[in-house]
Amino acid sequence: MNSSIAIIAAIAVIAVIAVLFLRKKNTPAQDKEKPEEKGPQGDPELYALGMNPISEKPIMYALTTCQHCKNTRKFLDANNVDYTVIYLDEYSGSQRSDLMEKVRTYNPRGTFPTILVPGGKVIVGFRKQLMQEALIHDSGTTA
Amino acid sequence: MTPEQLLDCLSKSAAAKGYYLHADREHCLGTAESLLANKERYGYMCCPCRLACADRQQDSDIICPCVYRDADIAEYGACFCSFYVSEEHKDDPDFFPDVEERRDPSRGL
Repeated sequence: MNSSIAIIAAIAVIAVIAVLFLRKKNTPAQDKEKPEEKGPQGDPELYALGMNPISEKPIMYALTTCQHCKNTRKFLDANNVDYTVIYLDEYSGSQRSDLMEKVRTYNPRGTFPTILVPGGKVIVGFRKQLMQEALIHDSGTTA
Repeated sequence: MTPEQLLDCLSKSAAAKGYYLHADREHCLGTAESLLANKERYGYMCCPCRLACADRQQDSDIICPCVYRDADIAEYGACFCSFYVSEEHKDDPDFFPDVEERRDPSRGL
């Protein structure tokens, strides 16, 4: 009788230890599922476009805070140019650095705005004359 | 602090160095708003024309006024953002030179 109780008690102890062990083992796995980046993460579709910038429309890499970017947008809007803008400061962590790395492949100084014109031309900065020539005179590139 | 109050402060500190804020008031107000937005976002007034790392030490060279301001004004008459200008251009609201980025790309992201 005593030996049966001892066996049942031993099984119960082993079960409790097993449950505690499994719980502990699962905790780090749950942590890994949490997003590793903190801070803002912008639109995932724009991020994907920024990383693979193939579009019929001009793509502008910009900052929400940059006056040159704002002036560029005003100019493009005033001239009815259809374009897509990707604000890098709306992303953080690896997405922000990935996008910056992509900008540097077109503009090694990594400055803003950087505009990719369909056809391969790249315009850096608020350059009215260049935008006029590439996006407004050439109606084929203006959507 | 409002953008107008910030402009007053920065205008005074710029004058002490012989610099001026750009003659285009709207451009200056927009820049001041962006500086305040960066202060809110990062905890320091990072240059609004550059992408911050969100690490104060790494961004230390681009906290406004950035360490490149003197050289940019000496060479181009304006800082990278055309926020600060030299005496020669203080009354020209259309003065927006193409200032080459002199920051080493390896310092940023």
